[in-house]
Amino acid sequence: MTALAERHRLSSAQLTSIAWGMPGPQVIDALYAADTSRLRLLAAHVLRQNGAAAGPGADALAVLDAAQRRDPIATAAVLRSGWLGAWTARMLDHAPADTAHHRLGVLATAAARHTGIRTELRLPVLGGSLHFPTLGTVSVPGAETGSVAVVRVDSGLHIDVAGTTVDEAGSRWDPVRALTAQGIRLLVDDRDPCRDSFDVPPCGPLPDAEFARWQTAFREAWSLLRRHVPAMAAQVGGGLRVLVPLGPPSTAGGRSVSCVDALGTLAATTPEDGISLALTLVHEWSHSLLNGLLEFTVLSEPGSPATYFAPWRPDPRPLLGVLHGTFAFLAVTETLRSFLAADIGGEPAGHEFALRRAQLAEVLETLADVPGLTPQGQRFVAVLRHRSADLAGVAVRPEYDATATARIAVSRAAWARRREGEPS
Amino acid sequence: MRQSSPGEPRPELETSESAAADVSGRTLLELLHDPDSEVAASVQRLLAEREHRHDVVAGWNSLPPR
Repeated sequence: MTALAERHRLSSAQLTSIAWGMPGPQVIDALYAADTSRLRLLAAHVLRQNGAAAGPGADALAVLDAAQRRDPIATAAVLRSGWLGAWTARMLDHAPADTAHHRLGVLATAAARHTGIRTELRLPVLGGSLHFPTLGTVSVPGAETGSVAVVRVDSGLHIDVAGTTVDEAGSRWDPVRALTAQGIRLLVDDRDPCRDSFDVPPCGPLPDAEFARWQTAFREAWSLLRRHVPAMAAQVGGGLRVLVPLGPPSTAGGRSVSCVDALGTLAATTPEDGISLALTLVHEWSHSLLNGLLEFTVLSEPGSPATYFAPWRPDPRPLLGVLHGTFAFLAVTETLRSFLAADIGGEPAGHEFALRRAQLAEVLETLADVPGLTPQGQRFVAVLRHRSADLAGVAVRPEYDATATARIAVSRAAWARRREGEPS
Repeated sequence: MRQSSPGEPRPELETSESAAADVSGRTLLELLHDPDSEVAASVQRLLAEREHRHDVVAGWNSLPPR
């Protein structure tokens, strides 16, 4: 009989450090360790339900087993970057089970390549290409969906498909790219079909010029974070792993989003500049951080249908949505405070800071008395209220505060109309 | 820093354990074949927690409406 399974544990001080937006590297590692356990347990559950151990994915499972025994950290990183969580979520939501062989195969290939395991696997081709997470994509235009590729891993990667052999040095191989700066590397996933795991469709592979724009903004963003909010930079550098580029927004301004089933992953439109990307990284990392915390504790009572005013959006929000937004915008506003103190960002940053500060003060007044928070949720909100109060003493030009107040009034009116079913 | 008001919860969260069992040392293949009731219970906890989050987000999108 197997020993009783223990759980991951975070101390009061560690959980409180998350609420303050200041977890150290050990806390972030603990969040990832718990999330890795979650991914593995749910994936095993889904695979068991679909009979994968006896099916065509069995060889891939054996390779993953060997890879984890050789290098558990590298293998966990491949599974995470290869969307195991999002794929599992789709399976739980009753997606067709016939993708298991493909997903396990590409994950096993990548894990074998990273851990130095020699193997050969037969994989079905989907949509004229094969994408190997963290490694690259081979395009096989002559191969129809359902045809089989033989994938060998030795000192390199070789794919026999549609009568030809492709390897990592060939012209039909597109390696995974990464945004890099001193002390950080963020994989750019613009090809894996599973990256379509957000509420907005991702864009196709980035043209070189677009990638270069990303890289320029990323270096500028990282430099700003390191210089002016080094503690946050350490979190972002240790916590964010994958970026999924989104197509251009249909309205002014950028868009970004996180995925509950992919910790450390964000999707975003091409940034206008380094400052906006810095704030996006902070915002989306904060969502990941809160999702990690929610694997340890429950902040809101299940089943409450109540919705609330979130000043940054026109639509009524459930309590957990308000908590997510509040937590993320607190980190953004604290970052803006540091930028303003260093004379960075000028008038736009001043307006943005004043607006977010006013929005946070308003929403945290509501959260202080809201029903539906668990006792742990009440403690969490108490920390957020302290953080918000710390922002009050920052002086900005009076017109910034006046504009913020006016904008919140407009948002509240739109929210009230929408709540009553009127067009906003 | 602001002072806490009387009756306001202390700004300190309590120690908590993860919904997931710690399976750091076990592979996907081992878990797939594991009849351990503790693992099964952990999966049920995770599924319930996931359902809760789904219930919460069912009526809204994480991006603002256009």
